[in-house]
Amino acid sequence: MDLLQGTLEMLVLRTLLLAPLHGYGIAKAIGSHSNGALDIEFGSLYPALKRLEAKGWVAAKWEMSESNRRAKYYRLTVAGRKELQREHSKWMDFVTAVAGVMGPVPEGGKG
Amino acid sequence: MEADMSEELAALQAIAADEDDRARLGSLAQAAEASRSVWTWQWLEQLSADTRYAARTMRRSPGFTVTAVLLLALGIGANSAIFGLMNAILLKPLPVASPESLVVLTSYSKDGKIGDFGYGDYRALRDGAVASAAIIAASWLSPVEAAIGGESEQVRRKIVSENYFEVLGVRPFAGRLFQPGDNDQPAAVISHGWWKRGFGGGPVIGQQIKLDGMAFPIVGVAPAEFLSETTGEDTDVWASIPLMPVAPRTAAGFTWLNLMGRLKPGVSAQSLKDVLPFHLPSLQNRFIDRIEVEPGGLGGPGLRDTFRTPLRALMAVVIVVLLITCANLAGLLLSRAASRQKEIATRLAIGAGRGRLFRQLMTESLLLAVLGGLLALLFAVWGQRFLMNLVSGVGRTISLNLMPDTTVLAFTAAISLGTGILFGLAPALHAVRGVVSNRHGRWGLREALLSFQVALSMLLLVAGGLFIRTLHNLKNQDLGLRAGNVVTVQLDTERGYQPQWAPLTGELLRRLEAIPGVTSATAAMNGTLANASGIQGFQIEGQTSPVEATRASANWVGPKYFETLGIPILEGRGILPSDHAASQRIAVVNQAMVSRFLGNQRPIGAKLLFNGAAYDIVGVARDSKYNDLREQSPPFVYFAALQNNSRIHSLEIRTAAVPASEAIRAMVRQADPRLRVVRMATLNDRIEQKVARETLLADLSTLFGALTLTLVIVGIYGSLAYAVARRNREIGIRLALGARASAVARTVMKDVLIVSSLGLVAGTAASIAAGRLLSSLLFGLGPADPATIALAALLLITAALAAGILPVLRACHVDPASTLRLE
Repeated sequence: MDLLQGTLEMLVLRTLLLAPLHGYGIAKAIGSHSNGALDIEFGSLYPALKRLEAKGWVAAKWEMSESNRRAKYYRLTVAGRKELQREHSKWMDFVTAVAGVMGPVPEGGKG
Repeated sequence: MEADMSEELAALQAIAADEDDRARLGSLAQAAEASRSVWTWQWLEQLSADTRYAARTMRRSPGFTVTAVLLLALGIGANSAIFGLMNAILLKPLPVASPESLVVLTSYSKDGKIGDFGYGDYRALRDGAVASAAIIAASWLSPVEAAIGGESEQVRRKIVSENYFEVLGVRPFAGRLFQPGDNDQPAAVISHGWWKRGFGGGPVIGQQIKLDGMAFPIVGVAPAEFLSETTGEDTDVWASIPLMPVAPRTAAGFTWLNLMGRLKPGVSAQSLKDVLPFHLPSLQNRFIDRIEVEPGGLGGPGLRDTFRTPLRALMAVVIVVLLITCANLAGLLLSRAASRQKEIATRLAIGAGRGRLFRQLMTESLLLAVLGGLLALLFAVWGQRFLMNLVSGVGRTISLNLMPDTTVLAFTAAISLGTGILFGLAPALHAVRGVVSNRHGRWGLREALLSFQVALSMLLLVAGGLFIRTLHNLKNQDLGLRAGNVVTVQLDTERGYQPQWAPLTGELLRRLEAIPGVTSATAAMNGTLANASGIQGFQIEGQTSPVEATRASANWVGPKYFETLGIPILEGRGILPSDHAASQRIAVVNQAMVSRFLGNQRPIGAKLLFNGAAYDIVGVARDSKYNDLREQSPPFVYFAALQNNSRIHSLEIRTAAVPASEAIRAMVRQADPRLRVVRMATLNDRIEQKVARETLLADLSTLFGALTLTLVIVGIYGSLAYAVARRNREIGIRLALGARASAVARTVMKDVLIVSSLGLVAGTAASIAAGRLLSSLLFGLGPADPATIALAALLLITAALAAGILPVLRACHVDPASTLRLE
């Protein structure tokens, strides 16, 4: 499934709201939360992560993973949390607007 | 950042591998690449934000911005200008093919450097060393009138060997350059500059020009970038050697050609040097004792020898100027940081990182430096024009290609950025650490910067003082002659004209003395304070010293020579009109000659044996300066020009009133229309020419000294004014508690005195050390000249106190009531 522009960063922020994760963990979490519908390419996820870091919305720290490996964990900053709230309400507005236009599923092929 | 990222990606790969899910990560190289562009973008974004912010800050305080940019432009521009000269004279190779394989040949006698070679020497060396190097010869002749069609123009000419252009690897701009066979027929190559100036850039090949009455067809035009084989010279026309005036050309012992060579592949300068002496026995000129071979990629020595040390000294001076500028600006920025304290505190409070803020402040200084650097390039171009005028104003014009090249631009860019960092770093660090006010310690960065400026300024003032005193000493030393009111006339004849010199000289002098206002007139083979001929291989009768060891300078002079130039005769007599061809041959010697060669012998009556003739020594003249104003007088012999039918190149005329140059020209024409006046100058002009280098140093170091003194005054004033404003309340309380105004003034002034004294102590030590480095440029004083140091210190202390007066007065007039109310 293709993503709308800017959605990926929002997804990352939302994923990190639950707990700090490393890069692979984020990719896996987005995949499983969408029941595999959103199979994010790591090649776009990772730069998005770096963009978020540059904007100060996430912060990274080296930690040990549950499998006892060193990895860089990303967590949401205060500014990131505010950004997520902004993005979330924008997203909901967007969904409501689109749903209003689209209405229920049209019955195809009759008549 | 890069290393951290690869580590992170490797870690992720390991975790994915644990879960057997490598596919999810895909191409990590691609991810890394995309992230890098995120950083670049972010960096650019921050830079542009910082720059915009810095520009806004600068616009808000235009006074500070303009001052800072101008100061920087001056400081950087001075560096750029001097470096540009250094680059043109000392660093930039000749615009010829592979300059690195060129060498310069320099001749030395047993007594020291001669430099050039005779024509015979050239031919012997060229033919002898043909397997190791191709050797070329060139000589600069005094400018002549060149006739083109009906018009005539002064041109700078150079005569060169026919292989000159070929060996240098210069390609013609038009036509052809010299080729074998040009020695047998007249041919001229003209410069690109003259082609444009004199011929309007039109078709020129085959046109005739007349030089010295002889017609030369123009065979080619040299390329624009090639001015000469020697840096600093400009040539209008090149002609080949055998075509030029013959008389002294082949004379034994007459050296006039500068030699350069191009080494054959695989031959080193050292091995050429080893080969050359094998060809020395065949040289006609036995006083060339050895030949040095040095790299010649920069061209013949020309200006390099004269200006190497002065240019280095000037470079040091302008670097010091720039350092003072940096210290001054750093002080200004500190004061500004204090007034921006609130802004900085606010920005820190709303979450700006200290690193980010530091970067912001550094961007501001760098932006100032970049603006200053751009303006500096403009200043440098003007400055160089001004410098060239200072140097070229006297004597030969100097031509350099001063278009800023990549070296100069890179230098300017580098020092601009370096300057920005230097003056911005400390204030920026202070600002983000929040230690702008240094309320507790008396000694802060601000005071250190002031002391530093005082010390450096002292260094410059002392150097300037040393140069001024050197110039004064050189000009006002006892020259051994009276230079005032003497006009010297350089004479030449038409090409190939060989007059009977003795009667012609007599006629000339009679006519010159008839001019109203002329006290006395005389003639000489070599002009006074110009060049003297060397003689060697003479003997004093009755002595058995080896002939080779005797070497002296000599001149052939007319009657009244000593009276006209004001050289005292200490014993015996001078040269008289009665010393003519039929009378006994005579000579006058100087004191150095007597002490060197005559020992205890009575000089009058001794006989000098020279060139197969015996000369009675009839007089002893006082030592005087002959060529170099710095040298000790060498042994010197005056022969009688009329007696030896000597060729006359110079007329020396003492006048009671203003020199009547038109009358002199007219008299020379009347005496013989085939004589020409090449140049006329007073002896004092000639002395000015000889001290051109010292004048340049003295003028520039005075200029820069004055500039830095101003900077120091402004720096001290600004800093004190700030300190007084900051301590307003303290002063108010002290006054309210009954302190007298004078006591308050004393505390403020005490700071000034401590700051300047520390600077003066450091400055004195530094200037004594620097004086030693400059000693080869000084004359008549030691490198640690107490008077100069004392004067510089006095000047600085006075300036510091003057700078302090206004802030101190303000401190004394603090109104206790109003300051207390402010609380």
